Amino acid sequence: MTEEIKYHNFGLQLSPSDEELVSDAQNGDNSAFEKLVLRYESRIYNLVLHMTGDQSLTRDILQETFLSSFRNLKKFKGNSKFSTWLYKIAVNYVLIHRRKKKILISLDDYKPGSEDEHPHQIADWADSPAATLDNSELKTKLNNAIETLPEEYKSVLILSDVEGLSNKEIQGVLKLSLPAIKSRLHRARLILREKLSEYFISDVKNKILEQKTPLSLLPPGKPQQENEG
Amino acid sequence: MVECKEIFDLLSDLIEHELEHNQEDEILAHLLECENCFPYLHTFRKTVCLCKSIAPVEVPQEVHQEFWQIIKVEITSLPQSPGLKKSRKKS
Ligand SMILES: [Zn+2]
Repeated sequence: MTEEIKYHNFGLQLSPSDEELVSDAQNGDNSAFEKLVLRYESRIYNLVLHMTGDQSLTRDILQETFLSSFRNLKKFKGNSKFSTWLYKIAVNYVLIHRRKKKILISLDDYKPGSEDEHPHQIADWADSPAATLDNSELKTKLNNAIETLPEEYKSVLILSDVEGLSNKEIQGVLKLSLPAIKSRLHRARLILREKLSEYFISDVKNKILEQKTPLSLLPPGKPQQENEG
Repeated sequence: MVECKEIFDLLSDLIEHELEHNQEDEILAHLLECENCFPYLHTFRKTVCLCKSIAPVEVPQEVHQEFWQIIKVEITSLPQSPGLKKSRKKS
């Protein structure tokens, strides 16, 4: 499956390993630190870009993350993976910047409407030809939908479903219990599904408008001559 | 009887195969019969798949160059040769 191969080096043993490089860097080998930087630059960039949706902010946070990791490298005791530690620093910077900009979206603004959801509105769009990421419109829509998730849900969803971290690793990045991670991830997915539904439903509506045949997709009325007993 | 609402709460567990076998069976039985839950599960699973198939973008060249320059400056401004581990001043 695609999710397994996205970050090909995630599960594989790299040589030298992160642990070896960290240990060398902690002992003053700057080239070892440079290797770590090159190894994780893209991943941190993508993580932050997904979380902020802001390229120039991402550039700043990328720099801050690695500068901070370099300055604090001696404090890293290897209790978690180096990548988890790095993610944690990056996520903290995202949160700091977000607090500064006061763009934290209230949790109450987003409640998955599963309870009220009207059965007839559950459109099955999963097999629609438009529902693949080859569709650049959907790609944009998906990225926007992720960006506008409430922060509490967004970090967990990005770390899990986009970056491919295990719940255990996410626990190392965010100060959350495993049940909290699972529940936030689930709610994030519900919200996202709903946002994408809106896309697919409006897509269908637009197509109908384009064709100027607004009634053609309505269920056909019962034929008048039907026998009535 | 399993209610639709309960199913919604368990979809993540279901797609990650984290349910007890009998619970999974019960839910699958409901899904096969329920015309609300079945498309919901389908699109829910698809949503997760779409997220997992987002490919990482390349770091733009100019971002990388600026970044790399800053890292280099930081590293070289703080000489850390193997023998100089305890470089903190104690006055
Ligand atoms: Zn149902």
